[in-house]
Amino acid sequence: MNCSEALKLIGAYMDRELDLRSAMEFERHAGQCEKCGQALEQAKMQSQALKNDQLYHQAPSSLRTRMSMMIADQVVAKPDERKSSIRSTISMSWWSYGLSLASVAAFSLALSLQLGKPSADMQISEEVMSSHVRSLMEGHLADVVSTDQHTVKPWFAGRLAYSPPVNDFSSQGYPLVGGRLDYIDQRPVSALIYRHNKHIINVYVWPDMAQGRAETLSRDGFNLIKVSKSGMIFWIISDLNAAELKDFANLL
Amino acid sequence: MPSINKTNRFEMTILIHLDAAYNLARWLMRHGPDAEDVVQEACMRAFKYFDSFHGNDGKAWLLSIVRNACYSRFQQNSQQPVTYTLDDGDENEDQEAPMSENPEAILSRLQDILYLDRAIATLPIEFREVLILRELEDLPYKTIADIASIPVGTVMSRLSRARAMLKQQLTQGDLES
Repeated sequence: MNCSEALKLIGAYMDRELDLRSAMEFERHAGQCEKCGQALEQAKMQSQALKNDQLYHQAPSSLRTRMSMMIADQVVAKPDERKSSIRSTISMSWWSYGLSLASVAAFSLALSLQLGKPSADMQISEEVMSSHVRSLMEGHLADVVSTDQHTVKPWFAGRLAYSPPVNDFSSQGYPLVGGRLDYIDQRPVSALIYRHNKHIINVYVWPDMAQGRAETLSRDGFNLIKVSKSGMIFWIISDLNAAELKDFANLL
Repeated sequence: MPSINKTNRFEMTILIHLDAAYNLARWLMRHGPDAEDVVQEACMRAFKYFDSFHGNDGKAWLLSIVRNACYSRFQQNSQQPVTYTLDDGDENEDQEAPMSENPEAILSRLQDILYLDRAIATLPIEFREVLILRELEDLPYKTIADIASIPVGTVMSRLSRARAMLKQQLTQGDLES
């Protein structure tokens, strides 16, 4: 086997898709040829790097619940089946509906056990976190890119039924980057993006009359702060350290 | 009629692969909400035709439905060319990717998840899908061939092209971060 043949087989060898004879010939060549041996190592390294949980998009729990519900609905809600309303059919349908609901309930229970504390805030913090991570990927950061508060604020008008407070904190070291429409807690909300050095800060704002003390939370390397102020609730998230993020929260 | 038995079987053989379905849709659509729509549509379809599913690989079956749903969504919106103009026959030429001059630099890029994410997202869809199915789902070539409705040989050449393109993006690319 020569180098050009061997280099073509690297992928299939790595994926264990070669027949035994070709695999052995490849190994013999890669063992003797420094260039091909190195190319194999590099290919393995690249392949390994892709097997990273952070690149794998797991189904959002809301989608999972919706799918289970949908299947449950299919069992009872088909009108043509209702027509053949023999008593036993109906009771059977309700029986299965009940069971399906039970499985959804069991799932939700498992979910809340997994989260440890089944509170609304916990649910929101999960959503805020995944939205934050999503916003950092491939051009999802901002729908409107501007450091000018007078550009960002009007952008939300007509898109939301409220107007989020937008300020530029450049002089304090937290310049405004832009704004984005996002979806948290089953409603469209404004997301404001700020920056501190190289750290991106997302601020999710929506109206909420509830008053409460600021709460901080740290998960998976992110710091989250929840603040209520003048009829709005702010969820602030970043990989910035907790102290600086708190300084930022105090500016809002 | 859909029976409790059918829903249970559907959950056990198809819905347990919801993560894989979403992951594929998310990588093809490159947009979370669109991916959710597509997966939901695909699951409805899968449930509707579940009686005609007699195979034993529920994951491959669901993923092929998800893939088709993604492609027809693209066609509806004419968002993106469905076929890449490159001839599959030409794919063998480009496999001798240049060796990296600077192994440390490529190593640090491999550890930069956001860069990797963007680099994969830049691949044309035909190459992206085989890469995702192989590297993230760990599927054998034969299964990938079934899902994408292409011959095994094409899986092999597209995959190696995808890896070469990714490598080039990692060694020479300069994606905005």
